[in-house]
Amino acid sequence: MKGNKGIIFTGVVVGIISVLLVRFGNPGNMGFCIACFIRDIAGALGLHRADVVQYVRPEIIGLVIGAFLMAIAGKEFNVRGGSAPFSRFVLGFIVMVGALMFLGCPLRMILRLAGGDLNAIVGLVGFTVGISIGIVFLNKGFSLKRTYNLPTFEGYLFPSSIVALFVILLIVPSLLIFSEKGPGAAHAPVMIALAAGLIVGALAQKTRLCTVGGIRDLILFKDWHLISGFIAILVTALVGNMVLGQFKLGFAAQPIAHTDGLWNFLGMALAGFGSVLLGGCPLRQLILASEGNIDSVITVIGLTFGAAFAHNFKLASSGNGPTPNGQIAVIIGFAVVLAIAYFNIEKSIDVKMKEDVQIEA
Amino acid sequence: MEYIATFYTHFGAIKYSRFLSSKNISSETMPVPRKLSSSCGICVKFKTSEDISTMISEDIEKVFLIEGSDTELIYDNK
Repeated sequence: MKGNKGIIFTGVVVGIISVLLVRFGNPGNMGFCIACFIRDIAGALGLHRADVVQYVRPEIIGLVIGAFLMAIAGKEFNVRGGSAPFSRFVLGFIVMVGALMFLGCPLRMILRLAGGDLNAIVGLVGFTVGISIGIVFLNKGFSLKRTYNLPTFEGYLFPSSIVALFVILLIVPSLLIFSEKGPGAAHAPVMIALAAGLIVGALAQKTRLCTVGGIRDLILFKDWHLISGFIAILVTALVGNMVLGQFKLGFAAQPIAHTDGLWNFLGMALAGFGSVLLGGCPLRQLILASEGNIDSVITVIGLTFGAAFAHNFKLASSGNGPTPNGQIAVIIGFAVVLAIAYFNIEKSIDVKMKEDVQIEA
Repeated sequence: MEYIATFYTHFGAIKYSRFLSSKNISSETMPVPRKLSSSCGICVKFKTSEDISTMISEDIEKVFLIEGSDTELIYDNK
């Protein structure tokens, strides 16, 4: 239990901040949502034309800078990449399609549950099933192959791009597109959102908080460490929502959610399946990208592309439910993820030893 | 001597634990302890009296020697 203190503390902080961000103006049950926020940023940059979901979310900027600074401080900024980059891009794209079918990343799924949205239970079951399918492939030998060290400068480019986006937001916001109505128009004040992101980014880097990893480790190793953070977010946000009167139990009329159980299930199953092959949920990818993991940078770009396509081609659900295009995209998504999983199974179980190894004692 | 090996890939760790089993060395596969890495792969913990330098596979990223509650990095495939 002692070793779990940090991750539980992080979960409690994420829970409190998430509830407060809604109080300060974020959409309902959307204190944090990596999928929604990346989608909003894609919209603000004009990558899609859905005029209700366009805003540069300072939470994302804070997450990246917070995680980057924490990695530098802890001497953990290691620049590496080269592990099946385009497969990761495609997986990121598909995870986003699944998340926007459900209307939220796994983190928002927890926050929706904490707000009383029972559709999120269906999502959670789907998410767990998706992760379980992924684990079957992991155990059969699925691998996107190893990473390699890359020049340190390469690692600075992603956090720098995010800082540049923040500078544009502050100094020349006229370059960006902002929603005048809808979820994109609902947001906490910029500096509060930025501070929230900084705190959560730093803590998530320190503790490796990951929704996918929590369920994966529990199934694979009966290891409760990561999932204890997940549970701490749920309990804290639940209590916080009740205290602030933001809790509303039921399936119908939940904020930015629909009640189609089958597609809530399939959307999150797809997100879970894709994420476990990637090695982490969208939040975790963002944190890894900030500490020098270029494969995760590629994944985040895949998520961004997925979000842009999801809105340009009407794949994303709305409060009215899923769209036919979205249903077709989720089915294609399953086929593609299955293909990536199957064709990356290593057949050889040979262990090749290195020679002339120097051991430092 | 007790060691923890970390790997570039999940399957690398699974293969290595099977290799250890084939040599009748018992091992434990588990998430990499946070203090050893900020990445979130899996590692293999095992005890052996054999020369560790002959047991470094190409899938291994790092090997740590465990002494009580301390861990010492003894191999890093940079």
